[in-house]
Parts: sequence; structure tokens; C-alpha cells
Amino acid sequence: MNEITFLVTRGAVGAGVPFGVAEDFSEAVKWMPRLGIDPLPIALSSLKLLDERLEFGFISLVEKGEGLEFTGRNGLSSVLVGSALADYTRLRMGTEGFITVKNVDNPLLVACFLAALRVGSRVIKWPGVRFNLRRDGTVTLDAVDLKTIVGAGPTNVVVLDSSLDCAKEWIGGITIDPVSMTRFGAKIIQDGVAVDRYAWDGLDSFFRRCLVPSSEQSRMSGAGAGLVDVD
Amino acid sequence: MRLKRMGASHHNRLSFMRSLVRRMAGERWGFERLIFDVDAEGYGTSVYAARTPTRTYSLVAFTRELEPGQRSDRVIAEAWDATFNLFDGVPTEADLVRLAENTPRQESGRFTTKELSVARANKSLRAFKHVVDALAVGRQPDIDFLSDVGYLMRTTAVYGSGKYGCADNEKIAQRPEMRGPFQVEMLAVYLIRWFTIDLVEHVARSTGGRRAVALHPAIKRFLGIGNSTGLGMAPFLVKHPELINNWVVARETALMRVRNLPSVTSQQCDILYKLTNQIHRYLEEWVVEDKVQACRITKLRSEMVNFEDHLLNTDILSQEHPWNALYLLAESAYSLEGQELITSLILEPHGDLIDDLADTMCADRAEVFDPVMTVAEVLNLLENNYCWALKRDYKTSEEQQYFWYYSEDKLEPRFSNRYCGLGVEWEMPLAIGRDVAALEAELMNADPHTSIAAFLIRRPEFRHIVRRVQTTARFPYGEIYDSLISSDVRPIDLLRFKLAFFGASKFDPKSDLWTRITMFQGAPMPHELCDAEGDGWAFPVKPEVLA
Repeated sequence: MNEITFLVTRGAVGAGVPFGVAEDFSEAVKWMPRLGIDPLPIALSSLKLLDERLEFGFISLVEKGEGLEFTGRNGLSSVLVGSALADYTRLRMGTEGFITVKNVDNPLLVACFLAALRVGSRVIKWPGVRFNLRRDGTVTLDAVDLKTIVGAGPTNVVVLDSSLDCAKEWIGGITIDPVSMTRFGAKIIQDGVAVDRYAWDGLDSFFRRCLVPSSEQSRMSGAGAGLVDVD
Repeated sequence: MRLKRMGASHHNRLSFMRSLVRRMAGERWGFERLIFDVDAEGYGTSVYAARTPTRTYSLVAFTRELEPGQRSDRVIAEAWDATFNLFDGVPTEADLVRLAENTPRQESGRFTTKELSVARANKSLRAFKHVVDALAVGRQPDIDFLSDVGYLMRTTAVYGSGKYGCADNEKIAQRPEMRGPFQVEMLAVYLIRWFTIDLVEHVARSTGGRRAVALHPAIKRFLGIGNSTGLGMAPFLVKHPELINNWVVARETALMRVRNLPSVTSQQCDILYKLTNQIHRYLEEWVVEDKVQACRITKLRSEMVNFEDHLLNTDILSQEHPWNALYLLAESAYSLEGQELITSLILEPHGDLIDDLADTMCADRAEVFDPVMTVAEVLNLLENNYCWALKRDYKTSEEQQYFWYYSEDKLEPRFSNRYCGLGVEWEMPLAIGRDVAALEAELMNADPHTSIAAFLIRRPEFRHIVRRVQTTARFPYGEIYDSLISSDVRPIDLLRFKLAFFGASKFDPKSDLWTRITMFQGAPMPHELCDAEGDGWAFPVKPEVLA
């Protein structure tokens, strides 16, 4: 997982994401395998979209009645909006209002930001999925099917206080509960995370953008030791 | 923490090598050479096991012939005399086949969560050859010659937690023996040291046959394992403020406990006299080419003479709070090197009082960003905790002379002149002072009552520095109160601080960017651990052994 953290943080920086947001992004990506889902294809597709669409960098936040609404000029990047959404979810802790994120590219990634950044007890909903995040960090996720979980965007996401009635509506279909999350978590610690090679390489290509090429001079002056150490 | 003091650090009894050896001795770990399939020249496969009361860790070692032109201490090297893994358990034959394909390739290899670390080492050719030549004809090596080097091999990288597919720290973090910082890496290095001594004896036997003798036990103990450390270590100190805070708090707490003692016992006196006497020889044997460090050592020698004079010829130990008096003597009269050495020295006789602090030196990554904090509150943190950063003028070229970056070469961190090189746009976020000053300038123009979350929606580029300011408010010893990009920065100060906490000694700077060190010099060998106190090996000096 540490390798994933390193790759994803630097990959995001390579795609133009500010470092502090990239750190949060890697936490969200690292959290996702607890659901039994390989996070790298999702991380890569989000970074690719961000890389292609400069307008994703614009995030607008407006009050709407009892709620808040995040919008963008032409949709929102989950990579960029995740940290801000987590902040505002915590700012509004204890209120019954809701927060809507309009037209975001990957709702699961947004939910993982909230879980990884420990925003407390909240329900995150998008069409066909209910992601029930508890104060202790465990999650129950129920959804129509796997596709609605991992491939739903762009769509709207709503973050609700768990006590609201509309947060309690059961969707059915498939369920991932804390027991299976514990199982996945134990497997990650013992065996690591199996990741998609293509996605890994794609993230690596973003990462390589922020590597500085070497020259003979930089090799000699920029770091330690001689080039040959016979002693 | 200031860089100059960090750059004068010495190991002490809370250092990670010391706590590992104490644990190994205290828990009576067992050690066994399971495989030594090595040819006459020392090339082949070996497995060494360390058995704790509950589990086994194995060092897997591969040795090969290395062309002289390939022998580099740099991270960018592609081949090494020896490559290693610390394996969780005992490897099967299939594991060894898999590792034989991957371990010699190091960063290009791929590992599994059965492996806890990946490492490599190169011989000190002159030391290795000297010992082989001597033992092969039935003589002990020249101890003066060996003392100049201090080791047979030096590691050039020891990777842990999650690198190249190895197990993450989370897998072992709850095991008592691995709870302390860098215990996996320290154990790997300790076993590598044992292996190098076995290897040199084996090659000597193969060369000399019946005439060959084993290395004298005192020389074995005196030989450590070398290490070359460069810039790769520096970013770690900035990235882990909570961990670094806990290291320093443990040491400061230990010092406070000792300084608060009202008197000194005769047993403590004996240890202090013995060590003070030994340190003269230790400093005589610490010989380096680096002019700055050589001057420091010269001064240190005279300060230690002065210190011993105070111990023997004044009533300093009869005063109330004598340990505090010793500390104040150092603080008022000695160089930073001297102060740090005296701190290490006065901690030595107090294992019962301070060794428990070694268990407090880990961290659980408790960094939490607080979005509720107002702009005014963040400004307040800046004014209280970052005066050192805010008073600098970052518009001058001297204040931003350097930048840190990742190089294409094996992702090696590098440090370069900002005004001479390319790649400034990919600067690593280590310019804490400059970024704090930029944050302050922006916050001064923001509504002080608004939340920092609202500010960061507009200016997300400040998120990392806001998080840091909030984190270091909780972990004040986690911050370095100096710029890491100004013209007067010496990266080697960062390295020395971390290496001293590891327990390294005999710092031998080769430039401002890298140093050689010795690890585990003087530590008991595995079979001596039950007999030795496991703890009396600080400031080792060369043994008196006849050739």
C-alpha cells in the first residue's frame, strides 16, 4: 500500500494536482481496496479526465436552502472536489443539511475521500448506491449492482446526515458490509493489493512527468558518493 | 530543532540499534545459520535465522562476483557484491528460487509480503582482502588497519515498508519486537554484519586450508557494518513530523528524568568514569578526511579532557542534582558536538530510568486536517510557531538557492542549484519556511473569521502547508526550524540526525551531501547476546589483539 500511496500522490502531482490535495487523493485510493475493489483503474481514469479537462479546476460552492452545492463549469473532478467536500462535511457536522456534488466524474472515489479523511457518520448516495459511513470508520454499502458502484459517473452525489429518513432507504442488490471489509483488510495486510498492470503503468506515466532528467553534471554534483567506489 | 544541532547528533541508549540489541538479549533470541551454500570465493546463497520467542525472521543473502567498474555506493548502481532480504519466517526452496531471480536485481526485482526488507552491500575491498590474507596464513588482521575502516561490507540501501512489493509496516506494526522505528531494517543490518564475518572466515579457510584461523572474537565484535547514506534520507524527516517529534520527545524526556535526579550512585559513577575514559580513545580512533568534521573532533577531544577533569577534580558530582550540573557545564562551555556527546554520555548509566521510552518512539500517522479552524487561528499558529520562517526574505536568491527534486535515476532525491538547473517546476514540497511565508501573505488578505476550508477551495495549493502547520502545532519537535533551500543549508545535517537515532557512529562525511557511517560496531555477536549484558557497547574502541 505504501507503494500505491507514493505512486498515486506523485502521479496526481504529475497531472497538475496540488500536493496537499494529491496526498488526500492517495488516502482515498488507498482506502478503496477495503471494499474489495482495485482502486488503480479508477484513479487512473480520474487523473486522465482531469488532465484532459482544464475546466475541472474550477470549483464553485453555493448555499441552496438547507444544503450546499458543489458545481463546476463542465462537471467536477472527484480528485479535486474530494478534499473540499470532506472539509465541508466536517464543517457541517451536527446539522441536518445536505451537500450535493453536481456531475462528478467518479462518485465512488468521492465517497472514499470521505471515508479516508474520517468525516464521521454520514450517508453518501448516488443513483443505485447507498454508502453508509459510520463514526467508527466502518461502511455498509448497498447497491443495485457492481457497475453502479464503480462505473457510475458522471453523476450527482448527495451527502446526508445518517439520522435522516432518506438516508436509511435500503437499495438492495449487492451489499458490502463491515464483516467483508474486515476480511478484505486482513487480506491486504497479509498479501498486499492485486492491481491492474495497465493502470499501474498509466499512473507511472503521470508520475514520470515530475521526474527531472539526469545529466552527468547532476549525477556528479546533485547527490552522494562517487560513481565508482573501490576502497 | 535547528540544523546545526541536528548535524552534531550522537547515538544514545534510546537509539534503535541499541534498543534492538537490548531486546534480543533480554528475550534470548536464538540465531542459526540455516544455509551457507557458498563457493571458495564466497559466492552463493545463504540463509540466517533470528528466532524470537514467538516467530522467526530470516536473512536471505546472495553474493556474486562484481566487476570493479560496477562497484558504486550510489543508488544508481546496478549490481552489488551482496544482496539481501529480511524474510518473514523461514523461506521455502520455492521462495529461495523466486528471490534468487529478484533480489540481486534490487529495485528492478519484485517482492511479496513475505519479504520485509530489501538491501544490498559492497565489500570494502581492502578490508576484506586484508582479513582474508591474514586469517588464511594463521594470523589475526592488523587491528589498526581495520580500525580505519571499521567494517568488511557497507550497505548502500536498506529498503523497508512496502518498497517494491515488500510487506507494509502495517503487517508487523503490532508485533512487540517490530513496534519500534526501523526495527526491521536494524535487524536486517545486524544479521548482514554476522553474515559478512562468516563470509570472510569462509573465504580465508578456502584460501588457507588448515593454516587458516578464525577471527578473534574481540575483532568480530569490533567490526560493524558500514553504510553510505545520501539524500534519500532527507525528505523522510520532513514528511513524518509526528514520528520525528516522538523520537525527540523521548530523548528530551530521558534527559529531563536524568537531570532531575537529586544525586548520583556509586554504580552510576563507575559507569560514567569508565565511559568518559573510553571516549578519549573512541575520539582518537574517529579519524576523518572532511575538514569541518575533523576540526569538530579535535575540539571534542579537548572538551572531553575538560569534562573528565571536572569529574575527577571538582565536587560537581557531590552537588545537588549533579547530572543537571554536568549538563549545564556542557551547555555553557562546549561546542554543539560536545553538548550532544555529553547528553548521550549522561544518559548511559540510567537504563532503568529511561529505557522504557524506547517504546514511545513510534507513531501511528495521526495527521488530521482541521477544516473548522479559522483563518485567524491559522495565522495565530504561524505567528507562534513559525517566526523563524516568517523573518526570512525569500525574495533574495540566497534564501532560495537550492531546490529538491526526484531524479529520473531510480527516483533518487536530489538537491540542486535553483538558478543553474532544469526541473524547478517539479520541486519537492520541502521548502517549509518559504511556503509558510507565502501562506501568511495570502491569509493576511483573507477574512479572518472565515474557515480555512473556505480559503482552500480558492487556494488548494496551500493545503499541504496548512496541514503541516496544524500538525506541527501538536508535534512541535517535528519541525526543523531552518530553511532547507537556503544557500547555507547542509543536507548532511539532516542525515546525521536520523543516523544518530538509528545508532550509527563514526560519521565520516564525504561532502555536504553524503556520509559514510558504521553500524553495530562493538555490538555483541549473536552467540554472545545471552552472555553479554546486551547493552555495554556504546562508544566502542579497538581491542588489543596480537596479530
